[in-house]
Amino acid sequence: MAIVAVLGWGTLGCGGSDEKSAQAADDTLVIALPSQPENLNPIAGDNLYEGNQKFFNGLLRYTKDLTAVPDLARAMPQRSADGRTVTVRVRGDVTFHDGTALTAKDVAFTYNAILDPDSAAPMATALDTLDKATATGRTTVRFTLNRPDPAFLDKLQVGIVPAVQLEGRDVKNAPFNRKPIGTGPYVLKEFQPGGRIVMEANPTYFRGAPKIKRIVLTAVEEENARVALLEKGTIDAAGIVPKLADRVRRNGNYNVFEVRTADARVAALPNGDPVLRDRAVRRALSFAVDREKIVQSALAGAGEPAYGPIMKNHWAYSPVAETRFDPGHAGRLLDAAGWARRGDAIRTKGARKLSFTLMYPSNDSVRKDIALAFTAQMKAIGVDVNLEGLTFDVIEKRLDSGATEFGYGTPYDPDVELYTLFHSRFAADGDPFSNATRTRSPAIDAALDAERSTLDADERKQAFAQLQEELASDASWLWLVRLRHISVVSKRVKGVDPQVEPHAHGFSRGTSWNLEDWSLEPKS
Amino acid sequence: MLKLIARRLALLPLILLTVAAITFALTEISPFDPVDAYVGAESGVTPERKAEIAHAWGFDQPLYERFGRWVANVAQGDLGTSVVAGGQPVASEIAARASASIALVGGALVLVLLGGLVFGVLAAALRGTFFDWLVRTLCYFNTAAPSFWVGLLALYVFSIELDWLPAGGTSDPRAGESGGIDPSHLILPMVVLAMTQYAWFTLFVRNTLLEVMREEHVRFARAQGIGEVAVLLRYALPNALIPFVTLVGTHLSELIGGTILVEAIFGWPGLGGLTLDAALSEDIPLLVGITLCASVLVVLGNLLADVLYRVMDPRVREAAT
Repeated sequence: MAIVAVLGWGTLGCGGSDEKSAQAADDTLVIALPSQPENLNPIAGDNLYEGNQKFFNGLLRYTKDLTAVPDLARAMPQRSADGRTVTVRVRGDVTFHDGTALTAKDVAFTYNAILDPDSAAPMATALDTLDKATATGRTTVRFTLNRPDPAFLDKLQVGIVPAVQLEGRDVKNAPFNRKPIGTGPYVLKEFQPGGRIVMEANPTYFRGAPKIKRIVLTAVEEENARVALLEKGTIDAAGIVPKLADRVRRNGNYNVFEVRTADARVAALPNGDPVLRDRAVRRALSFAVDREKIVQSALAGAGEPAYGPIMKNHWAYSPVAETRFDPGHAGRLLDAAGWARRGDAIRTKGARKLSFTLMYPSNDSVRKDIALAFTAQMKAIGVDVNLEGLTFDVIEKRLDSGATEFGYGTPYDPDVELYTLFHSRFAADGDPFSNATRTRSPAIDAALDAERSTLDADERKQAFAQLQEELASDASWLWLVRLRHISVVSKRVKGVDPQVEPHAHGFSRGTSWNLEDWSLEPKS
Repeated sequence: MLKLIARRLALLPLILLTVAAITFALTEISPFDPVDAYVGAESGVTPERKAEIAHAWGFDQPLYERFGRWVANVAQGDLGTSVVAGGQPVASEIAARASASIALVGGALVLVLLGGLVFGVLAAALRGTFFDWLVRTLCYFNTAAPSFWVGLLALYVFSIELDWLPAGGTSDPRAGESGGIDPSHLILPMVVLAMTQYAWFTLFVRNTLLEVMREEHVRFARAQGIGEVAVLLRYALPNALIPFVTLVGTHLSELIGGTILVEAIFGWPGLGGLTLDAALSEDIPLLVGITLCASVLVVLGNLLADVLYRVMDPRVREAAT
């Protein structure tokens, strides 16, 4: 279900196509994704920002600097004094691809369908503050919340579907999932299962028809093959891994964008592990990691150090958790905690060795490279790390013993992601991924509860600063690096201006957030 | 022989039901979690919501109930819907990808058989020569080289450096409709897939031929003054091929397994990657649907092999009657 869209964009330089297709080629942009989205229905999207896919619009959208502005809404939403009601006026001049007019009813249907357990919508977790959406008029929709939700504006960006297409049907099995009808800048023309998705510019798009008339999304899973197809000119754009970026730069036909992301790689250090349960060990590791060096060696420079769950320059970021690389200090912390070292050997405390397993998903070459660099650095201070590349199905059964390299990060409101990640409410539940480290810290809970209990921006900022400080002090999550996604786009394409990307992202965010404004220069 | 065919086909429904039951049972012991596959590992979806999702899709029902309902639906011609395929019917998802798979596997199989026969026979005929050495060395090299590396190398050499062949998908993405499969796009993935299997077959043909050549009836033919080429082709080869008919059946599954890699490299929309997704996501209806199609192929393939035996080997024909 996940639309694993490391998006990229590419160029054109090839010959070899015949006259007929060369004609069509001039207004076609071919983008390679690692895998094809299985489901194009925003209701089935994995997260709040994934489902639009350029076929849909939300009530709001983000600008380049992640400011929320009206999209299908006529103006910014209005909150009631108690914060429990949010009212949105919907534009009256928008039509779906089939010509029917968008009304408040469609908006209410979309949100209520996500809440309906029968839809099996993963997004319902993120919308857990919403009780229901009601169309109170042709163009007015009212959201009733079960508590004031400071992050609710982030949740008003879900793609709106036409109610008439899905009402009274089994949404999760609907043909609509692969024949989407939205209000968006592009209209689906073809869905070849496992192969390509062809979309064409919506001539009646309410913000003006897109300049690039035809876009083909093709699925090429192998990362080297994507680069090869860029070099050949078969595709114009793709997301690639950092270590292949230089090869594409040398080709000369492409702009290579290092897109800043909130996407961090972090080692979860479970409190149930016989070695990692020692907080002194966890704190020492943070000083022993040379994050800059990991950026250089594992990410070919495409990244930045990460010290906590919130990215630098984010409104909620606090530098309180920034640690300098200081292996000497790490050694002293370990010495003081009784983890003694003789010569170059592995540290021991009594009969126990300072040794733990680090698991990572084996199909992710970037995570593997980060884990390898980390392991080498730990060895230098006498800490033994055993790497194991596994699938998450295996990792989830072993989460309580051994560290795991996860990927998390959102550049939007941090509440949506961080609450389930860190709150002790989720420490004892049967689910391995929520609070994976089984951390129980009253101070962390207090900061998380404070952050979501007020609508005041300054108070929230303070609460998040407190959260970051407590997380650093507890040190159950060893934040390593924040990636930059490498997006490659043909130099023929003008108007590319990437937005900061989240960990998981769909076609409506990141590099392609303003796809409808791009233009394609004729081939020279 | 008609009786044999009728008997085998009559058994087919029973075989398919057994295969389906085993596939259902295997998912019970597989480590994969359909809900985690559905929402993604790092999704932040709460346990309560995961339980609702499991319920909506029916993942929480006892397996025998799911199997019972599945059988009842199949009896009415409905193979169910697939989570991995965005909730679409299993039958339409398989149908949409089947032509790409059949073209890829079928083409590769023909290449393996023809290439293996030609080079195996030549190597046997010219045993001990440079040509024989070259064929064997290439076979060993190919067995040792990881097929993913061979695939990327082929992509670089033939598509990029030499610019002889297109790659990426079933047809030029810039052309109007994707329609069908452009043969020029098929060549590279097909050859790469064939290269994962040609080595064992070539060596098999060569070695079996050399063995058969030492048998008495061949020596007898030679003694009668029949030319070496005629001995090889008319006396030795038919005997060498008999065990091979069965072997092709067993190696077919390896060929199909190889498609997963080839699909990943060449963006080929076949059933290989879909099968893997179905297994990893524990998408039972899709997995069973694909398994059943494969079972039908295997049963028909074995039937064809047995029929061929009877045509090729008089001893089997006599024993059967």
